[in-house]
Amino acid sequence: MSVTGVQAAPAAAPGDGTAVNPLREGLVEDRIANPCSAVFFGASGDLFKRMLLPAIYAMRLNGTLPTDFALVGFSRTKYDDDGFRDYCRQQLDAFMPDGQKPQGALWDDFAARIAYVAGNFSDTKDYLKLKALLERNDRQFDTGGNHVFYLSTPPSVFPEIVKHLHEAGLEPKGNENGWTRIVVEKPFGTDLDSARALQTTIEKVFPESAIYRIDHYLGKEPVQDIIALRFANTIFEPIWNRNYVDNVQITAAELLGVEERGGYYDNAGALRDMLQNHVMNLLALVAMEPPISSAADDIREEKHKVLSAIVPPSHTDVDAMSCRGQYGPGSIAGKPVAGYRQEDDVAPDSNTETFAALRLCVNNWRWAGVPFYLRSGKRLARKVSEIVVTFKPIPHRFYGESTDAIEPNLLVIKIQPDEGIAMRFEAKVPGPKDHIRSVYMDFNYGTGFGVQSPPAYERLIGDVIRGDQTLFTRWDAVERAWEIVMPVLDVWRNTKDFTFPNYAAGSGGPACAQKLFAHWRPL
Amino acid sequence: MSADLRVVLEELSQRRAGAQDANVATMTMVVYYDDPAVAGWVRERTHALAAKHPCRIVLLDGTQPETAYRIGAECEDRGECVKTQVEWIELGARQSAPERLIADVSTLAMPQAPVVLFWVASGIERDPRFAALAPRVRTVVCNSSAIDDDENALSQLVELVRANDRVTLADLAYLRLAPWQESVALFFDARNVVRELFDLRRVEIACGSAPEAYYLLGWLASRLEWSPCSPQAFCNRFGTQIDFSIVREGPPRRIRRVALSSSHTQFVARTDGDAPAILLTVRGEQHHPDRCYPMNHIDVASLVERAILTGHNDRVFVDSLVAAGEIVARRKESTSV
Repeated sequence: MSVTGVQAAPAAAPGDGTAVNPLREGLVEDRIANPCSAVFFGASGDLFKRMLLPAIYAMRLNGTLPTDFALVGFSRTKYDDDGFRDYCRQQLDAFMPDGQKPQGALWDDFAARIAYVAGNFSDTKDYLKLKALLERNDRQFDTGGNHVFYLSTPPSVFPEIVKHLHEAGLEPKGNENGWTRIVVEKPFGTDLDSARALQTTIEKVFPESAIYRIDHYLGKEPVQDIIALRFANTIFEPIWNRNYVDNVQITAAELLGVEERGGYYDNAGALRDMLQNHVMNLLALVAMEPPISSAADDIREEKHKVLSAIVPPSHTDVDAMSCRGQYGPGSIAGKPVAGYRQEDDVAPDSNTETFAALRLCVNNWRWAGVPFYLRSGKRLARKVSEIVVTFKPIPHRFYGESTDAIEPNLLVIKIQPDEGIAMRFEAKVPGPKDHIRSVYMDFNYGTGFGVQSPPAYERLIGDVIRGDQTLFTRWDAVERAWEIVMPVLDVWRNTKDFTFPNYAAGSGGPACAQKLFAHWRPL
Repeated sequence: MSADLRVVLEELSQRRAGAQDANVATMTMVVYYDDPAVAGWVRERTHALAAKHPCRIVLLDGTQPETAYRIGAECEDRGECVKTQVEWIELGARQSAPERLIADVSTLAMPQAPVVLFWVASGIERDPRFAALAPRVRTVVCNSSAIDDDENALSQLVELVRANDRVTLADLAYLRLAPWQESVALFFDARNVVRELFDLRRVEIACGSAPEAYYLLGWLASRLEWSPCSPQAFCNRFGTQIDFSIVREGPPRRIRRVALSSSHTQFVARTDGDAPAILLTVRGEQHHPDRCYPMNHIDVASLVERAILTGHNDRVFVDSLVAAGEIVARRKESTSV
């Protein structure tokens, strides 16, 4: 009896050189197919143990990690392979949630694929050791000659690592068997010149298609949802322009201070740490034109185009178009907290801003005349990241009691801690009088889909292995973002703000923010 | 005398009015069961699914008379103040006529959301109630390894998909195979190994119940153009025979081992006790380092969720089901002879 009615997949004949696996058709599991070895420089550091290792292990548990995978730690700390495996296990015990702690066959298999190079970032011999290890992984674990180099080190050693990868023959050109990709953590440079210098160093060794500039903000589900909201619905795009939008606010506010990062932060500040990258990326996603497809470069092209339409403020305009602040002592949730200058590793007369706000204009057909207000700061009244699109007021009022305020419509894209979308609109209060009040229609992704969003690093590491650059920033966009903020950075670093500290920890930010824009959503 | 649905809806509406912030609904889920032995199981799984997908549940209880009903509307706090709405309506449906069930479901289904039918009862397409309800919903979910005798359930599903191509069907017994399909496919991904697929000589499946094993065989047969040429063997398009066997082993609805042998290589995927992982070994000419693949999302709520989210007939599933039906038919023929 034949299997009638069955449409078999086009199976290749024996000996057919073009054979593909006919069992693959229609499979639903999310496993990433590409085998690879992933090397983490700075593997004894905080980022690796808190974020990267748990993300990789979560991928192992949920089945997305390639089965032919190996992990290599590279750091100065002295471990042997077994010692590093023990270290990884301890960190996973500490940072994985209950039910996902390392154990059983999956951990044994994962642990067997962990190796370590105790090395100096500036010693070519250690990179040659790494090269030998990767070749062994290819043989032992069938990792296919594919290599990810993840730079989770302080940015100061990025150029050194890249240079030595090249000298050891670990660059893409030297890899005849597979692909080689490099992941560069933010910040990409500390200003325009240093970013260009870093890019020059990296691009000598890695082509743009192999460089993954990671901004973990872009891996957050609500950030990706911006694209879906705009381009998977018909109701928003027709009003997404200067005819209907009055202004756009983008806020990334934190309750936390600088914690243990005082040394880093005092050389960075809010403008470099948040506005130039995270917040600018959000602006690009909100304001870009519809890409012709979801392909990485189509989206990245539109992001670059919209950033190119932003005219950087002139040096003389900086005061009028920006606001900087630094927190002083205050209280958070009723508990007193120190001011910025009293934090560890911060200069007692520091001029570093812990709050930055900008007004930018996107000079193109869609957005001409619509101000974009960006703000980010530490030790503010609440933790919130959101995009608020404020629509224009109604053109003519004929309804409601004369004392009723008729507020403009708002669309709020909530990124954290809530993830969702809220819409404010006006409604009649039930009763004989025509009173009008604002009401919110509130959608929460957790409620709507009943699942928690996967952590950003899982998505992003998976995309690196897949070779999908959509959520990674292209060099031209990084460069343009630096060009936009450079006049502000120049003025701020060259002039001391004698009003610092100018806002209390736990408050809504400095007074100059209100001067810049009087209608921020309250923090 | 059946339950008055106006009373049901009125009571539901009053309860909903008291539930703050609960304003999302993804579907109406109609569940039918008629065996008191599975009542607890059905309710527990349905609750688990509803916790992830805010919805209206219409539980048609084939063990209770038509006069019985119970409703509930709840707003569950699932930590971090995430709230989800579950509206729960139970109606007695013992001996309900098909027309009655259609009327009840039409009245109770939310107009703005799709309707999913989770059928946990024997009979399937031979039951006129199922036949009446199935074309009126977006997705039908059943579980062939939990109902009827295993082989009959598969045969009936084949009849159903052949007779009614408008029904989007999912079978939990097939969905449960996903990590096994992935594991078996993994063996043959490398270019130099894929040809081994055309040199397979033997397949052995150890499993606690038959539908999963038949589905896995049906899936291989449909992908590799094998036809059953005896009760225990397939023939490929070049006439080569591939023997197969099903070994009953382990708890129901769980596969323990899948072993495939070509002329010179043995591919084995197996579970190790209760560990949520499949161990993959390849021995012989195409030796490969041992690997491990996690076995996730095979709980009933996750499988039903997958069925719902798919939203259309999966062609590979239909092919696998039809091929599995051919194997069952061939084996039945030989038994009857």
